[in-house]
Amino acid sequence: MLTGEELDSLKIGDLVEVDPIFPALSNENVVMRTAERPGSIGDTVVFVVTYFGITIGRWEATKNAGGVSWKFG
Amino acid sequence: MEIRMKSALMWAAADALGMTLKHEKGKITGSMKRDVSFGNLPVTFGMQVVSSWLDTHCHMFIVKVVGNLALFLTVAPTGKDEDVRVHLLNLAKMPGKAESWLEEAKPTSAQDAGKLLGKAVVKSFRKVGKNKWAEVA
Repeated sequence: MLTGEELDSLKIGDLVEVDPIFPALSNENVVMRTAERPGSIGDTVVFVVTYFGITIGRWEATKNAGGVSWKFG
Repeated sequence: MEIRMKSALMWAAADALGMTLKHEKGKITGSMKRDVSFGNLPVTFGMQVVSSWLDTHCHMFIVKVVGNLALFLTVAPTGKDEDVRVHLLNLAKMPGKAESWLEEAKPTSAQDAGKLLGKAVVKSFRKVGKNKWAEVA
């Protein structure tokens, strides 16, 4: 979804749009808002994720040697 | 004993959700894994029926999806077929716990349930064809 370079470039408050959960209903995308960016480049970035304004979770992305790993909560 | 529901309303509900619904021990159950691909990142959501209310003129279901997102599905007969509507619910604004909400609220109609749910209803859609939905203002 995001490359390591794209992850590095994100600032707090930046929005990333990804595919809809229910595309048959609407083209409205899921929105990931950059909420936390602790430490230096390579650390975990935390997104608050919403769909139609409804919070669906906090997703964490971590840059590593293999690319970007994700944790969904 | 499990009884597979065969009524037209139940079939329409199961079809809309893409989920097998069962009537077990006096309540409706159903769950499924929904795979969504965000770019090249697959995410699986576990959807589950947590509340239901069945009467002859409307069947209603609340289905948890992920986080604060749930679906409120209503199916009512129109004479020829069924009026199927799905509403996106924000569980953070529910007037109570989603689990067994319908059984406790005992809505008299889909409209009554909508009023009781209030601001928890974020968006509404009506089925207009196979896998086709239209937003309801």
